[in-house]
Formats: sequence, structure tokens, C-alpha cells
Amino acid sequence: MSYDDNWLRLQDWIVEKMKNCDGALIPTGSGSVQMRQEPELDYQYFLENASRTMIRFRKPEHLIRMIVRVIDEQVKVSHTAMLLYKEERDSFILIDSKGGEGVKLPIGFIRMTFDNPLIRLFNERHNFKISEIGAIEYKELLDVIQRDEEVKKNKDLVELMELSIRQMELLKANICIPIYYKKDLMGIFVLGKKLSNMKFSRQEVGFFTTLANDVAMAIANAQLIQDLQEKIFEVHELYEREHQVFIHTAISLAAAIDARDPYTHGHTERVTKYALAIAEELEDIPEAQAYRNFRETLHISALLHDVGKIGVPDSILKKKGQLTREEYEMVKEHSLTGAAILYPIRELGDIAKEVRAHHEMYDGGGYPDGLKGEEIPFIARIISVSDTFDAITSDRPYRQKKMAEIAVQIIKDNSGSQFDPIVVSAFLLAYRKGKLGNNT
Amino acid sequence: MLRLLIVDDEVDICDFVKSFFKDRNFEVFTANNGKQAVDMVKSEKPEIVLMDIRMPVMDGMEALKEIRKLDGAIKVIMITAIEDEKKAEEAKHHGAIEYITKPLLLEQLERTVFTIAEQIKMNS
Repeated sequence: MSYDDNWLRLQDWIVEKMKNCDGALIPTGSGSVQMRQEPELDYQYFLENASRTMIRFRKPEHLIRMIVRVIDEQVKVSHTAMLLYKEERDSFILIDSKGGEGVKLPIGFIRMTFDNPLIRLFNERHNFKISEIGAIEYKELLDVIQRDEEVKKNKDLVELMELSIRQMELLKANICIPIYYKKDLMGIFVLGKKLSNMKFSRQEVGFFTTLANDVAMAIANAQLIQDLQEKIFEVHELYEREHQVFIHTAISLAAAIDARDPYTHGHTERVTKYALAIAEELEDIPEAQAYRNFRETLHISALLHDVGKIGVPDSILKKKGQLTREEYEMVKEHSLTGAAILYPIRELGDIAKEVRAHHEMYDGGGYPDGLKGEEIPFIARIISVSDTFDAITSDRPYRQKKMAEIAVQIIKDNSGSQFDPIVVSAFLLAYRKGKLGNNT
Repeated sequence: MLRLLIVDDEVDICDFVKSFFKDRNFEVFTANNGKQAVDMVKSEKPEIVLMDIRMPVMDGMEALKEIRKLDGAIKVIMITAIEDEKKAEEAKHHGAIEYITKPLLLEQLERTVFTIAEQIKMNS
């Protein structure tokens, strides 16, 4: 359900509930307040539902705006306004206001700091025990200053109350309801006078107070959700960035290896491309799904499969003629050397296994460990096919270039002996789809 | 009684500030754009002007220049949501006496206007 849908639904719902839940909210013309038998129950029902719906709001200011509007329409007061604490200004700012011409308070024009007497009165009220319900009524405040003997004794409090009365006059407020979250003052809900000129009933004041608390919960929730989303985003960004750095490092390493061997220039890049294309045909099979991140592990393994060639001397790597037996043994070392380079890096432990095994054969005839069938890591089996395909289709000092068709035939012929038949069929599929690039 | 002109395209702000200074014994006029403000200065000759910057027809900066041409002694306080030191400097360069950003502290506005009012009274 979209945000707007929620908004409209809640608005309708509140209007409906306010009509039905308790007569005390809508003064009757006769001057008496009509009430039902069990108003508290209705309030509770209303509030429970309201707070549940409020949790869905991501932007509490929209919710506040709506509450201000609905109360303005339903309770019939001269004006309503909401002061909300804004961290960036370290002040309370009037974020919403409704009311007739001349009484409506301008939005975004004034702010109040913690020095403001009204803010102080709410913030420090626990020291003064002003009212049980948390709301401050203009007339009640005047009355307390004039009549309450206990209060009169406290000069500071009287002064603070008098200054608060001036502030309420500025806001044209008949009643101010604090919005607390835990012990912190988050905002003040300001109500003008009732158009019926009646006093706010105790029940109405109680209702607004509860509503204010729910607003606080909604704000806190929205803040929490926002914080959480930001955190998730940050972690995601961080992961993406690290991942990119990782891949780029692997690419640079691969490029460094390739650069040493002019005859196989671009070999790593091509093998990686082929391996990724074959992997696309295999992603759904259990062997692939057994990897925590199949594609990524394959990508990096392919990029680094020949990293061990760093240990093969130039004289052998760049030799134009046939390699001697000893020389060939040294070349074979590269899969062990590669694994040894990668193994100590914690994040590359799994990749080291793939690199070590990329010259193993399905029938056990490969090196360095003579692994057989399923013993060979799956990605290594894919790299093996890709590696062979590129070796045959590209120029090598010790072998003439052969056509892709011949390469395909060789791979087919060696399916089940040198290569894993599942990988070979995926290779053929990718080949027929034209995914194996320029060499096809 | 000192005469105060409030210039803002938001009627709610004009009304609010008007009632605030009326209660503090000022004779208050309002205008909703720079052009109206210039006309008001001509006809009502206020001593103090509270002026918004972003307004239709003629903005506050233009109006400030015009008004200062008409009356070199007039005290203009810019009240704006634009938090920009360059704008503030520009306003002062054109003769504005203060630059207050919205949302503002009413006590600060009151103090600023009262201080200026005291100076005007002393000089007259």
C-alpha cells in the first residue's frame, strides 16, 4: 500500500472515529457536553488503532499535519499549531498551523529555544508539579498564580509562570500540550479557543495529551526507521565500495600477470569472460548454489587463476620453442604458487582452493593433487574448460592457433575424462548462444 | 508613537508581527511586496521597516535601495529565510541596519526593534 493510500485511509478513519467515538469532542449546541456510557473504552480503541497506524508513517511531519488538520476540523477551535524540536537549529519551530485569518500562526517564522519560559515550564515542570495531565491551560495558569498559596511562595516559579502566560498570549493559546518522548520535550501542541466558547473538558484535554504521546512515539519510530535505513544504506555502500576495490585489485593483479606474457596477452580477461558465460548456464544447479556467492567467487577465481605465474621465470614464460620436461614441471608449479599467494588472505581462502585445482582433470589425471570428479572444486572445473578453450583458440608460443570449432570438438571429446560433463554441456550451450565472444 | 512598517508576502506573518508590535505601542502598517512598501514609505513615513527579501513584484533588496533613496534616516531591518552572509553584507551595504534570519526568536526581534526605537527617540 502506498504512502498516500495510508495517509488518506488514516485521515478518513480518524474523522470517522472522532464522529463516533465520543461526544465530548464535539460540543453540542445546548452548551452541555454529550457523553456516552463508556467513553474511556472508545478513546482507548481509537488511540490504539491510531498509534498502530501512525507507526506506518515514515515522515512524522505529514502525520502531525494531518492530526492538526483533523482536530482543527473536528474540535472546532480558533486555531491549532505544532511546535516541534529541530536538532539542526536546537530550537522548537512552528511546523504546522491551521486557523482563520488573523489568528493563524505563521509557519516557519518563529522559533523558541530552551531559554523560552514556556519551554522551560514544560521542561522543568516535574520540579513544580503544575498539572497532573501535562497540559497547561491559560486560565488555569492565571488561577494558580493568583490563588495557589504554595506556588506564590516560590518566586522563581511565579515569574516563570507569568512569562509563560505572555508566551501563550503570543501564541494566542488557550491550551498548550507538551509532547514528550521518554523524558525529553519534543514539541508543543497549541490550541486556540473553542469556537463554542466552552472550556475544554478534562476528557478532551486527556485525549489530546494521549494523542501528543502517540505523536511522540510516531516521531521516535520514524526517526528510528530513518536511522536504520541510513545504516543499512551505509553498510551496503561500504560493501559495494569494498567489493569494487576487491574486484579492481584482482583485475590489476591479473593484468600484471598477463603483461609478463606477451603471447597470452588478454588470456585472463578472456578466461574470466568465458567462465562467467558458462556459469550463467549453471547458476541454478546445486553445485553452484552451494557457494555463498557463486558468481563473485567465480569472477575473482577466474581473474586470479594464473596469479602463480608470477613465480615462473621469464625465460620459460617467454620461450618460443617447445618446453623441456623440467621447464614444463616449473610451469605446472603455478597453480600451487597461486594458491600459496592467496591462501593467507582471509577473504581469498576459498578462492585459493579453486586456483590450486584449475588444472585438475575430471578423471584424476590432472595436477597438483590428482583430484577426481566431485573432489575438484566446481569453479575450478569451470575455469579448466574456459582455460582450455582459450589456450586452443588463442596464439601460444608452443601451439598454433586453432579454430574455435576444433576447440569445441576437443572439449566435447574430453568430456568425462578431462572435463566435468555438466560443465561441458553448459559450455556448449553458451557457445551456441554466441556468448563465448570473438573467438567463436 | 513610532511608526513601523512590516513588509512580507505572507499575510500570516504580517498579521502576527502586526499584532505583536501593536501590543507594544507601535503604529503598524503592512505591505505585501517591495513596491507596496515603497508607496507606504512615501505616504505613511514610518521610522522603522521590517522587510522580507524574497517577494513578488519587487524584492526586498530592491525596495531597500528605493526606500533609502527616499529617506536616508529610515531604519530597515531585513527578515529573511535566506541564510547567506553575502546577502547580509549586500543588505548592510545598501543601508540595512540588521539582518535577521527566519525562523527567528521573538525576543531577539523585540530587542532589536526596541533598541532602534530608543535611538530614534534619543535623537529626536
